Amino acid sequence: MKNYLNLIPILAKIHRRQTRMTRWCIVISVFLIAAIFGMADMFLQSQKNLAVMQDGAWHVMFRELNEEQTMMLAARPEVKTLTRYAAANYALDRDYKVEGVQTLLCGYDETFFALFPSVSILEGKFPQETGQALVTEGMRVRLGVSVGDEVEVETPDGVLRFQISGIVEDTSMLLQADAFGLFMNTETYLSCFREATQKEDFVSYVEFVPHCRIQKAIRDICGQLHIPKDRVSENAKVMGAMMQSSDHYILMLYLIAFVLAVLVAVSGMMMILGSMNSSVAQRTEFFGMMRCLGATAKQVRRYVRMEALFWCLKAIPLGLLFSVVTVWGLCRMLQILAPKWFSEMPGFGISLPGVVFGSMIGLLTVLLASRRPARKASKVSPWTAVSGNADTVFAAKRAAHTGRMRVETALGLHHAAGSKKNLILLTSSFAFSIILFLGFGIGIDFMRHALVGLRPDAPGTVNVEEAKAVYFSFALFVYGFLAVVALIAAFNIINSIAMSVAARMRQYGAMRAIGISIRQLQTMVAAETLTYLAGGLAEGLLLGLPIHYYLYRWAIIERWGGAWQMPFKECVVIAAVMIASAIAAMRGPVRRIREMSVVETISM
Amino acid sequence: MEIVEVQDLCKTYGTGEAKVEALKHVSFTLKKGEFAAVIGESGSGKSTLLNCVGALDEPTGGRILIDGQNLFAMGEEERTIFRRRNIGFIFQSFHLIPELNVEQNIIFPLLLDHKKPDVGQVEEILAVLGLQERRGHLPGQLSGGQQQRVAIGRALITRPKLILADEPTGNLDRKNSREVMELLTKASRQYQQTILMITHNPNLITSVDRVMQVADGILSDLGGNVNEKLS
Repeated sequence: MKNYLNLIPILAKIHRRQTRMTRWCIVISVFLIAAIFGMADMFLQSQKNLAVMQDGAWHVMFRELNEEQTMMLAARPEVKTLTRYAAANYALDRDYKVEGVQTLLCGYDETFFALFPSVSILEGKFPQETGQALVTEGMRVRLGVSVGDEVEVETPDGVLRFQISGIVEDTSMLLQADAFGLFMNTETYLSCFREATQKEDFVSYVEFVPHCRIQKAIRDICGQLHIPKDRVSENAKVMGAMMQSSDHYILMLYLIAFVLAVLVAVSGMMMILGSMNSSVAQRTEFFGMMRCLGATAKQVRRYVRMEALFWCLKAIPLGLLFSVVTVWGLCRMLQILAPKWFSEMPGFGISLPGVVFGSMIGLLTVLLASRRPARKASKVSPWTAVSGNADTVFAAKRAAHTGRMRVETALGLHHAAGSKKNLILLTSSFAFSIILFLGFGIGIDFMRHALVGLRPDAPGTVNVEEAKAVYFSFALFVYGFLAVVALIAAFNIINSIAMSVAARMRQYGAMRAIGISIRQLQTMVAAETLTYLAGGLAEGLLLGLPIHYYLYRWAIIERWGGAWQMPFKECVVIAAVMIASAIAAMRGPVRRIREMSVVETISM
Repeated sequence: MEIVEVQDLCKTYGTGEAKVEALKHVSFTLKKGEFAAVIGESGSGKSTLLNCVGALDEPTGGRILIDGQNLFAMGEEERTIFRRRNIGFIFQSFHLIPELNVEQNIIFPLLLDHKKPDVGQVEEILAVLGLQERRGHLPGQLSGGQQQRVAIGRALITRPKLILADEPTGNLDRKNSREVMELLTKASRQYQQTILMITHNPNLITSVDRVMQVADGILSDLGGNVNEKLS
């Protein structure tokens, strides 16, 4: 051993049980943060892939650019791909026909296929020369044409002949209208149909280079090339999934998701803080002994913080591992539930933001949480260790009120409320879960309102089955978050009670020697638990309901109207979860009390 | 009248090669008002003896009768209640309840029985212990000697049949040790309390009625008579 800090791994082995709770707190916090970020990342990736498949990979579309503007735009360093696109007879209501069938005429550059990966050439190649064209699969089947054949297009100005260079897939629009499509390169199109094309049907699709600040690029382009803002459209879905959208509502949604993730991190921090406080309190004698043997207050402080970091060595990777597996499971579930929407979800991907945020926020949380316990440990006087007065809980400041109630109940209440700091810390962490639950709960209402738009006749041809699947998938997300919050609440309660009891085990042992019965000790633990629970519920509802009201007004009423309603269901669910957790929380400690050896406990 | 009857008491820890016989066929009796001390080296088995007599630890063999009642024929709950009513404990490290003040700590065994303490009796004990001025203090605000006096008060409050004291002066200086011993002797004389004290301090046995020694789990009586100081 070269340094006093080398004691940490040695003592960690011996005190595995004592520090287990704290280590699990870290694992769970890291797991939750990494899972939230990981899932959000996977969701964004899948939404981006899906949006690319549905609407194309382009970021921005410029309408009615002249040739000079187009050339200058294509030459800009931030532009990765530019595809010119023009169409005639888009509404299939003019006299452009092949063999009497309405025909859509399009002209685009070869790069079109890079921006629209859902469109592919089935046979042949893109028309390189003037007079060549791609035709749709429908035309090939119905007219029996093949690559190399000639096709005649009847136009109001006469008949035009094109040589078929390849066959492309039908689009759903053409299939529905029972029409043909004829696609040529931009040059051919312009020479044949420039006059027949409406102004707004000349567009340029642009894909920017990776990591480009797209909003800034758009501003620069519009300014320098004198393009009015109303001729610019964003591919909202793709940009949204890239978090580059200018849509304020989408940005606010991300902000909310971020705030909620931070709230989860804060509640994780409170959980870790609580467990570290109690772990330090249980070792008062040890820290006093260190001070006795000559450790400075600074060294004790460093010891506690290094110990916390030492736990992170195993706890963070474990938390990350759990999160990766959970994200895999959730992705798989979404793929099964709504294959059309989540087919693009990565199957066994590892989310880099999830891993990075999980470990960084986890580490930061532990460092922040260890500050107070470290300070506390460094303040233990050397005298405490040798006087035999070292206790596993911090000294009481006032006596319990035993006059009006039974002594076991009075002591239980006092264990909870005797230290205001402890009471505030615990009830606040319980209350926090309620606030989070009510906050996330708005997601359910949001989902109901937002997904009303997924009607079968809505553009994009989403059918009823798909709408249902999407609804279920979103529900899975929202309820998944709610379950996570409820899980934090449950774990926090179970953890807090277990630690509070563990910290007082020696005291309970002495009480058993003096003659307290196990039943009386159970009452004591129950009184303590109920105090935390009642305090947490009261505080949580008092703060949570106004927050719910304002969030609801902002997220729902301002967008869709309606009136705020008391979230009875959410309140009942979270209260039930907390009460059930409190009951479960008492089981373990009560069992430990029942099984404890009085002699061993008091001679510890 | 015999308050404590220990018959053929055995206590074994572990099995096989790790087997340790902490007590080997120990038998003795204590009469009402008798103040007995058990001395022995550390690890001799004296604490085990005290824990068994106090019903904190279960013997491997033999019987312990307190006021004629077989401790280990009772159920757990019954034994606990019997203990709080009939056996008072004084520990080396006091084991007071940190959230209760001096007075509450003293009446704690009565409160566990949901009994109203007799004000006169509490005042008397506080006066005997010299703690009247400190009745509202928490254990953390008291010196070691004062804390041990509170523990003695707690052991006396139920007027138990037997008081067990485990190295009661082990954590105290000479002055406080003397005061604690005087209080225990007073309790034995004034209230006819039967006291069994274990100690490894030979100076303490001058004020007791009878001395027993434990060595390697075997108890031997070194003599002495009730209410007669050993010379």
